[in-house]
Amino acid sequence: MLKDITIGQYYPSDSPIHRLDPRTKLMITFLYIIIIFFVQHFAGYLFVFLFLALVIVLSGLPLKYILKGLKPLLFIIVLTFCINLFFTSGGKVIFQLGFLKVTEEGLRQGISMMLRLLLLVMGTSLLTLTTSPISLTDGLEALLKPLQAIHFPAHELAMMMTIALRFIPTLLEETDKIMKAQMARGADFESGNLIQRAKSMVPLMVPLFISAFRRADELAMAMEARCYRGGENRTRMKVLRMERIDYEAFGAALLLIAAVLINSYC
Amino acid sequence: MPVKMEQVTHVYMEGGPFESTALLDVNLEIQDGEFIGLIGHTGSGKSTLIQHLNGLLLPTQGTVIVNEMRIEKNSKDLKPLRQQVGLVFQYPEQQLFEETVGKDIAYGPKNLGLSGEDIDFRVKEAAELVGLPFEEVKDRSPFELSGGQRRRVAIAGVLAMHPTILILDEPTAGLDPRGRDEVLNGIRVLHEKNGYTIILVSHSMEDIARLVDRIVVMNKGRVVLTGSPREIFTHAEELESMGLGVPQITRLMKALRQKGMDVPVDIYTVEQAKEALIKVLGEKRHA
Repeated sequence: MLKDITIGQYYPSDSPIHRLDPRTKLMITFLYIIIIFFVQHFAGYLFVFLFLALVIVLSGLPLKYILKGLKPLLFIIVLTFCINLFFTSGGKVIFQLGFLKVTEEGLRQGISMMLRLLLLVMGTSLLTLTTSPISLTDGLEALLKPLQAIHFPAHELAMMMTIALRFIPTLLEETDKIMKAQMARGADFESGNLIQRAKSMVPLMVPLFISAFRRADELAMAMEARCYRGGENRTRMKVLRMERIDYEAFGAALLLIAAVLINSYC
Repeated sequence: MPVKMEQVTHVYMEGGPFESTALLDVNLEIQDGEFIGLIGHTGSGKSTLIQHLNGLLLPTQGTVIVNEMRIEKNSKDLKPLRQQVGLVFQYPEQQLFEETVGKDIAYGPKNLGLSGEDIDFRVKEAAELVGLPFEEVKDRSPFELSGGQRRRVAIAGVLAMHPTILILDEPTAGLDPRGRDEVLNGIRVLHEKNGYTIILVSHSMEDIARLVDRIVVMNKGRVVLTGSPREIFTHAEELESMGLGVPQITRLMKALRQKGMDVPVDIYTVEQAKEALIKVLGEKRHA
């Protein structure tokens, strides 16, 4: 029941994409998200799609695995498409049924929004699929470090993320275990109306919260016992270093940005 | 025949990068009223096996039959099965959630759709079965109780479903000696007086040797040995190669025999050892 979630999951492998510096991947993903919103014509989406396809091929991830991650979002994507399709006015009317009206502009807008969402989700899920949580937070900390000059708690934020990410599988496992334990006592989490279902979650949530608090307490104690005191003067085991492949990746990203901007505004 | 597993195989995360086979072609039969001890190294598939018996996991291949209900890959409507097979997970006290002990035990019967009176009766009965002073604890929060008591509340919560088969996964893990004795004696009474079929998963060879009729040994997803404690504990080397052992008293008797003392080696409880030693030492004195 919980095993279908692939968002935020890491797919261990040894591809060029996996080997990229996490900072490179974070920055390129960031640029990728921005550039999607600059696309004006469908040709622009083609460029973005080609870039994405290149990354997917290089990463060696099974396509099935990436598409599976889209499944939970199908509803939102279809809903966005429909809303844009029916509620955008302008252009020629293509189709009319009662008060529902599909215009040329609506169709364009709907498809454009749908493509945007698909490209966004697939692109960003590639980041987490090819980067282990630890190196992801390492990269984030390194990128946020300059902000420490204005007292931004970069290290603390990264540590919080590391801890949160580290506990996701633990909590999932625990949820699974408690769910099973309550199901063994005849609990039913899947049927009934919304209120009944919300109520049936109580026997799951109470034990989960109790154990999460207990774990947090124990972890804090264990960290203090090992003299943890924040980021001052901490050295790291793996030092991040930009390699040739990283510059090549930036080159590819810049090419994409240039292509999209030229296509949209020239 | 209440429980029968036919060529059961279970694969986790089938098709994904983390695919792993937890059970491989398991065949197992358990008779009515038997007390089974299930042992195996961590990751040998014990937990996966017991979850098949009440349909929390469905076999990837093969069939599980419990009290004439067949469980296969796509089985649905497993509630009647879950009522028949009570499963007590490891650290079951972690599943307690209600404000009072009484309400927590009542959770299972309530899910079965019983009426108020029936529920009250079952709650009281279940609490007494595990030896809890019901009137004293029923209105207290489960979180105020001791570890052993909390665990017995959780077991009572399963017993209140009126199962015919009771499965316990490491019911004594993390308890102090007193809590351990309370829980184990409770289980023994359930078996002897109330005739439950019991499957006990444990790492403690001492507990297993003392309580069960038959031992099932698992290794790497397969059932590799089954037999009475006496039969199983003669395979000491095999057990050790699987990361298991024999009761300490059995090892002691072996060591004594190597030193030249004429004691039997198929001994696995302290009581048996006591008698054997009295016999040997007594003979010496008379001789």
